[in-house]
Amino acid sequence: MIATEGKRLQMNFFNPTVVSVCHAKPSGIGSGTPSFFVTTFLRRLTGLACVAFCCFLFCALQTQAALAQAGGTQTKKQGTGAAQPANSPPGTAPANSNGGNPPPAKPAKTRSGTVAYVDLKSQKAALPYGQPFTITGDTKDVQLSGVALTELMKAQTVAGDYTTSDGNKGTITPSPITGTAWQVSIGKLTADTSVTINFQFIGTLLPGVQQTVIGKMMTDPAYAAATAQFITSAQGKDATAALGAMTLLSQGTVDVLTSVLNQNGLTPKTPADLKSSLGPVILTNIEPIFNLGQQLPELQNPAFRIADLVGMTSKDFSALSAQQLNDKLKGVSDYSKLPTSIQEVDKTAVQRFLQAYQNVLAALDTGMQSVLFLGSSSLAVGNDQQSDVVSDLKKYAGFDVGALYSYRLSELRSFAMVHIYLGPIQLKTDAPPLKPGAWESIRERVSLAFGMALKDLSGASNSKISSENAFVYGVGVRLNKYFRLSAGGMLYRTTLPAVNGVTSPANGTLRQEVFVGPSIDVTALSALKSIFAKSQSN
Amino acid sequence: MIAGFQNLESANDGTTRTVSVFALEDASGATETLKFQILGQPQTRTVVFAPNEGKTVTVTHTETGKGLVTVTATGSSQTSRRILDVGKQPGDVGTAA
Repeated sequence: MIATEGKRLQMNFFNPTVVSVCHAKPSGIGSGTPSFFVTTFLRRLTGLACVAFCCFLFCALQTQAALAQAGGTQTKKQGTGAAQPANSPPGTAPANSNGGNPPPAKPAKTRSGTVAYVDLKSQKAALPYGQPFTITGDTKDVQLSGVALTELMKAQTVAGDYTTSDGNKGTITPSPITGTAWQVSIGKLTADTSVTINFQFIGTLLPGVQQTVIGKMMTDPAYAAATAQFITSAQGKDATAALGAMTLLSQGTVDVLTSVLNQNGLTPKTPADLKSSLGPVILTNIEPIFNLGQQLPELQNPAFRIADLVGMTSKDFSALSAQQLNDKLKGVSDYSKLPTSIQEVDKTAVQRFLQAYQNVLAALDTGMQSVLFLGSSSLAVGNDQQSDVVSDLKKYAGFDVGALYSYRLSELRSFAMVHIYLGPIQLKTDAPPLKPGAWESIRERVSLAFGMALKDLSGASNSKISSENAFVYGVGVRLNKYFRLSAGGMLYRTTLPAVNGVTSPANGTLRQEVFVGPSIDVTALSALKSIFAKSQSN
Repeated sequence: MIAGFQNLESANDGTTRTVSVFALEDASGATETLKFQILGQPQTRTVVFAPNEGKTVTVTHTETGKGLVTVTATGSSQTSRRILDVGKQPGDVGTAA
């Protein structure tokens, strides 16, 4: 019977349950009835694992075939996308792309070679690696210091640069903006890095910006300091001496204006242009600019009751900025609410303030309209810890070393295995799935495993494994980027000790055991991570 | 005590150059001393104010050109300042705002 068992083992090692019962006794693993049932159970479990493994292998091959087919389809779609003209607005599908039907809800971000700026901004995008890609956006979505770009400037061109965490730097070639739509090209990025992209929108300031600038300038401490310095310098001086002080005030005003624009995310494309353009204009108009700042507290003086004209309390009225005051007072025409003694005085004061405000606006408009500004929108789009900005390197397989435990052999053995994934995956388990669906997260963790059990680690004196070598196969489950848990079967040729001088007939036959064990993926280590990896994320 | 100033301005009719300001007295009423500094030239005027009365106070000067004009009142924290071109003729830009 034992001999028959041995033959069955050799012929049917994928179904060892048929032969395992009697074989346990001569090998000395168990001799009592409980051990008999345990052994039976384990043998059957091994058999079931083998069957499951075969099914799994079959499914995996089917899945890989399906994935390959899907990839091919996607490549075709990408080809269609690539046919879109470079300067056509993003989101504008080619005429023949879908027959005039509404575009798909959302393109795949990293697979189409195009990333939406809004996704980048909200850190929902995983940037592709290993190939250039395009970022598309709309100026309406760009915010500079909390203000929409479209409220600050008429953007004409977008350019910029980027820096990656591995020290690479790149330049974004200037690209014209069509309407409000824009797109830029980014060069190849390295997988598993973070990148800071600095977009620069070039254009002219909108008229409304001047009002914001005036309001901020009047309350800027630097402007107050420049004004105080002017008063100290010009007090008691004749016109000739005062001119120097006014020139200094003008220069100080230009600096404050530049700073205020910077605070709004706007910088002159050529700072010298702004100074040469704005400096003389400010000097010519320093009178209304300075006087506007002096008129503010006088208008807000409660003694003159100008707050009554706009139905505000003195406290609220005194908190208004120059722009707000202008907005409130420009519609005032009825001064009859005020005492007769100050009606005319207040009317004159209000009219002069409004006139001074317009003069300052005109001055800024003249000084700024010919200067091109850069609206800089910097996106530090996370890093390895915060978000997966550049996609993790996509791997086809991994190479693991670890230790496995075989219950029946009562051995802990080292092993080396190749883990084959069911399509390319990202090693980082916290990375966003490459595709939606629950299956995707399973696919990115599970792998088929093949390898060798090498050497006993547990100090067993008489290993039953011939020449210490065994073939191992099974399934691996990644716990994180580096570590994995594997389980499966171990095939080996037996070396059984002689009992009472008689060598067991099972000696030298093929057997298998169940194993489980942890391992480390050495190809996840930085120096080796490009092994079994895709060179491009798409 | 002067409660506030308004509309500090200069005028030049071709013969006389003046600087004027509207001064508003508070409820106390008093004789107030207003000090003008018209570019390099100081001028002082003493004016009697009834309680809550407002008056336009005018001084003449001989300065010309653009510079800082300041008016203060003794005993009051109120000050009015403008950059004015005190030599400009009526209608010239810069004599009012």
